Amino acid sequence: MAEANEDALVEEGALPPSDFHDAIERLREIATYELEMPNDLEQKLWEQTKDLVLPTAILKEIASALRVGHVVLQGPPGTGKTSLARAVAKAFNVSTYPVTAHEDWTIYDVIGRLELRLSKDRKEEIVPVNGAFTEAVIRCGNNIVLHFDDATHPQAEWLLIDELNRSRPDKAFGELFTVLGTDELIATNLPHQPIGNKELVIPRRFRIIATLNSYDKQFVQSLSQAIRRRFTFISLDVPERLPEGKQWAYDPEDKTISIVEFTKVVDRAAFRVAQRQAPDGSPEVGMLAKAKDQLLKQTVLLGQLFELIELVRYAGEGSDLPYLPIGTAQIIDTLELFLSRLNLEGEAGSASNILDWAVSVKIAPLFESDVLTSEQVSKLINKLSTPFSHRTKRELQIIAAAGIHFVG
Amino acid sequence: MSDFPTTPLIKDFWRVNSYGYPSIFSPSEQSRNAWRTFCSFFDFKKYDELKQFWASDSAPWRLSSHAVESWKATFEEFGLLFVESGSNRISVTKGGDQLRAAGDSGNLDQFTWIGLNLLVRYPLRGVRRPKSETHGSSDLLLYRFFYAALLDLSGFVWWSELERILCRVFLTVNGPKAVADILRLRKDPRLLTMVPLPVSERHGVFYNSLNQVAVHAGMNHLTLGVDTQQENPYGASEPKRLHFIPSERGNLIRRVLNLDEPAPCTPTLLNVQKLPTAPKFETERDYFDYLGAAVPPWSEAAQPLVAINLQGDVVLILRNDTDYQLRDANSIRGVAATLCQLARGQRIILSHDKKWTYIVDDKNAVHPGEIVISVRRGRPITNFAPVAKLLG
Repeated sequence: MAEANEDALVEEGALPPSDFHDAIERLREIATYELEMPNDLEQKLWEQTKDLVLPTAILKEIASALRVGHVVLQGPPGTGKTSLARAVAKAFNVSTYPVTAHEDWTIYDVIGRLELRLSKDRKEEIVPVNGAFTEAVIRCGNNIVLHFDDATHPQAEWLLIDELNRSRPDKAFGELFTVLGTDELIATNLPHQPIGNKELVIPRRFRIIATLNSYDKQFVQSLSQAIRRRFTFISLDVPERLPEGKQWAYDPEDKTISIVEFTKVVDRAAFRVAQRQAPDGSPEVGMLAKAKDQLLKQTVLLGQLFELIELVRYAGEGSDLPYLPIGTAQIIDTLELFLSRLNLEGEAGSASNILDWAVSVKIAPLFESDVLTSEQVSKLINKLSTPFSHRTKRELQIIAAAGIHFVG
Repeated sequence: MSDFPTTPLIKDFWRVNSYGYPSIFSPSEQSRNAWRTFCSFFDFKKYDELKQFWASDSAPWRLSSHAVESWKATFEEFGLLFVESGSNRISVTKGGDQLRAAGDSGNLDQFTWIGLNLLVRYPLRGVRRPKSETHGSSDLLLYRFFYAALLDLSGFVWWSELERILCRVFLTVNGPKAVADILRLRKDPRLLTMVPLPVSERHGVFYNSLNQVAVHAGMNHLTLGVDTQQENPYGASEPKRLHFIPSERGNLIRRVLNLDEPAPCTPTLLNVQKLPTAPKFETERDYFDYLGAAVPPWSEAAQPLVAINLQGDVVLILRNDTDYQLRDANSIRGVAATLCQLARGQRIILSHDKKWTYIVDDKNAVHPGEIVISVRRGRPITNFAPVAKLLG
């Protein structure tokens, strides 16, 4: 039997390091390991996404896409793209490095840059600062090594880019396109790092999941064909409309997607309100049940809200109503506000007036959109009835009158 | 302070048989009488005849049948002899024969070497009906743990530490937690109030049983000293009692536990992290064959590893068929004296696999001289050349 010091073995190159920040070029040693597919991936995906309103097929679609490469989740705001990205990463036992893209992104934000800083002894020094992509890749390498030693540790780290289309991807990603688009372990150069720490090889376990708002297209950058080729695009839409003859109802057993959404919206809004009432943020069962009961007493009103949403969510081509795919998240926000105000008002409050108010401040502003005309909004106003015929109507009238629209 | 103590505060404590260790070398008359009682088991093949002898006038003093039963159970615990259930036959173990021979020849070093080697095999679970549910599910080798803990605790333990923390360790995996808790207590004795006794009454059965643990562990004060003069740092209401490893016995104890100096571990590894769990037995006979197997001479005990203590953990590199035999993808077996030095969680390299390192998951004694090590794959070996150089 012989003995050795672990640090010495790492130094000599026999074992990979646990931290690649100062050994970036050694990422090549562990870059060939492919993504591990958990045996119970389907079960884990289901567990991680059970609070989201998703068609079941989407989970298999995204899992398959991630097996082979990077993914863009596209869809209207509030449809759960970011939550889904996080949940899927968790199901794969992968940690995430989240960033939100913006218009001014350059390779300095994505790859890295040199910054002038003051050292501890107040001297100026130039230090390399990794951009989001480089940092995520290094952390991914660290996780790969640590996961080998401890299977409960995340097997990788993925870069999670929110609102990818707010950036100018060609300007921000530059030559990264070359290494993102191939299975070969091609090194990309890190100009900000010192010699010996410059060549970055992307581990095969690394992935980018980006989200893309497919509704506000006028405000965002279009993606070039170059970047489109390197991602699988998966669409998330608003849930399908309530089938004819069916009533809006809270029913955890009903698998109809619109009823699933109704049920989860009630659960989630009740949870958030109860959570805010709990001193430690962990609501007791009783508080949760009370909040849910309060909402369920207003099932008829909630149904009217969902009907209003359906009017615009599914306004098809040729319809004179505005097409606005309002996401589940916006409905939850609205009901949370409704319930909070209902609690404040107590007996004196009129539930229908409060819902009207909540819709006027949460849903109506969504119609201030660059893709809607004031005529379309006016058509909707004409369709409004109780309980949305006061505050919501007034708010929409202001929007229509202001004519905030930039139709191309 | 919600993270203290980390040892599970179970309401149970170590229970062992109530008679002391037989020793011809002890100044205590009780201990020498225990030796004479032990020797009497050699004079009879049939257990009922031994009982009749102790009830007769020819006995040096009278022992009731019940007392003989208690002595038998105590000697069984020490691995010296046994009477199988339903049988009337006294069987002295090979280890028991060795201890007797060492005592008769007046060889104190040999006596302590054999006695301690037998003691450290004792599983707290015991062989027959366990003394409690906690004892029934225990995987602890009681005295091996006790001494390993003492070595980790600078060679001594206050009675307060024994009765509040150590005696609650029934699972090997909790050993490092107990040692860490005691080290923390020593830094901040006020924390003692957060560790109540496992019983409502300090005296009685609780005290007697723990007292016997200390007496047995020390082979009646041969290998464990006691100091009742020092002030207890935990306060005046705590017992003024401290047990310690006498300096002249340190090497012997380390050798018995396969922890000879220079230690093959880095300071980051506790001795209690290296302990094997107790083996499981199919039959009573298997149990006694294990407990009383012959003790190898001191000179034949395998030499431990020499460690290189730099920064970072030690990686042990084991040669297939020399240091270990491969059982399956996740376990190896080998000589206890060699493999005992591997700590749980330690990284090892097995020469049969040039692509992966392994992490020690568990250690199980399957025989007094043999250990099975469960391993799992750790980080890859990215370049075997430096390892090959070390293997020579």
